[in-house]
Amino acid sequence: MKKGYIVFLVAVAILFSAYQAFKFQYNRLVLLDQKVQESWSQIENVLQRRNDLIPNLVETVKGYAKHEKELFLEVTEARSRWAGAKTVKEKEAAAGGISGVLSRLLLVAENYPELKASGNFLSLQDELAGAENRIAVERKRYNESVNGYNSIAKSFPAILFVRLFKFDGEKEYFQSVEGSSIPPAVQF
Amino acid sequence: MRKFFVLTLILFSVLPCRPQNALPKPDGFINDYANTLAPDEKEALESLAASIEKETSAEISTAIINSLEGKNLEDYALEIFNGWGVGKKGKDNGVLILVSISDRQMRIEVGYGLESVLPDAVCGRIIRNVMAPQFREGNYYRGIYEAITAMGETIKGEPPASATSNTDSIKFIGFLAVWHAFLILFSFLLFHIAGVIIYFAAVTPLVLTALASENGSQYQAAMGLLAVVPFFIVFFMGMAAPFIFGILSWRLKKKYKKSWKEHIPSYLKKPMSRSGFSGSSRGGGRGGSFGGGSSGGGGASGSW
Repeated sequence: MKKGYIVFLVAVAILFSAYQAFKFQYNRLVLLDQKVQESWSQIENVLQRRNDLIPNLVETVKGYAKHEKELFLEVTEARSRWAGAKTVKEKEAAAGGISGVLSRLLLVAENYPELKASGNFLSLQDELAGAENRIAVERKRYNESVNGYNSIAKSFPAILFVRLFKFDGEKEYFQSVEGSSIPPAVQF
Repeated sequence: MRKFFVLTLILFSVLPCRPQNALPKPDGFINDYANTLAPDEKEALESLAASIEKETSAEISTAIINSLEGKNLEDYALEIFNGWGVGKKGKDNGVLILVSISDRQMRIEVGYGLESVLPDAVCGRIIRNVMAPQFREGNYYRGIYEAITAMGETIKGEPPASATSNTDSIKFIGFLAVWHAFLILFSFLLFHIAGVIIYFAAVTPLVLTALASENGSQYQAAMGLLAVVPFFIVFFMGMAAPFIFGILSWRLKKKYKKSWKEHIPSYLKKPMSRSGFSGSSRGGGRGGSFGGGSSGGGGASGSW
């Protein structure tokens, strides 16, 4: 009778620890996955913040440089590409496109001293530099969370859970796009 | 019982440990690592920042360094900001002015909570119109003083940020519950039911004050007292215990001759070790002088 009791207790202990181990692994993956999604939405936030500055910037530049029509068209195209982007890779490319036209837009100002000296343009330049800096910060944080997720999800006990519960096997990094790491406020 | 004390001692001695990193340690609001400010100038800036903090709870800190040593200005400003935790936790209402003398570069890093009050354009204007012209003349003190004043005025013009977030206060109430359970246990061990009665007599008015408080600061004051006052009461009970028991045992001895010990519960017979008290007062203390705010890279940079 007493033996049976001990066997029962040991079985309960083993089951409990197995449950705990399972719970730990599973919850860790959920947590890391959540963190990646959270930091991705932060990236989208700051990218959107930069996009929201574009109309204002275009209006300001238009006021001084009317005949840069091609450039304004490119800006519109880049924005619509961003609106159509779905995956991380597409958004990365679209954000890179926007960075490109933005730096050209700022470069144009070099030819128009009046524009360059206007208070509105200076403010926009500050805001753009701030937006770029925020993107850099959030990109770093996102890549850190991706790194944290990938290193766990690819290692042994967790990979079983990844397969079993259809977690993402690997999260994509957000690469630094050419031009976007250079704040546009630099002196040319 | 002794084991328990040792355990709490170990627990509390381990808690204040923090991981070391390469960041310089902040000493007040103004941290002049490049020795550009005279002592009285530093004093004036310090009191200016302190008065802004008193009025608005926003923390405007300054770091003056000799050189970035190749580091990126924006990255380093963010590292210092989040490392020091400038601004109040939950409000994130901090500002860091980072000046690198030999690089002739500066940055105003703004915490999340102040981004709407001090947008990048405003910071950029302060850098261009206030700081850079003064710095060019070598007037670092004037430039920083006027920048802090300008930012303080802007922050004062805005309605104050809402009080600490809900999760924070829930955490604090949880902490209070555990803390009080602890102290009630101690007072029970010291004076049995009488100790618990004394304890509640002291705590109840504070709880009532907290419940009846009309505004946030009153509530916070009552909660703060709730965390501190019971500790002192239990501490004084602990100090008084040997005297009271001494008198008691002396009188009981007189009354019962030698058999008085049988009338005292067994847990009071051993003298209590009170070494646990001195360690536990450190719980909940803060490391630096800043409140633990964070920033996501808001602000502006400039050069002179």
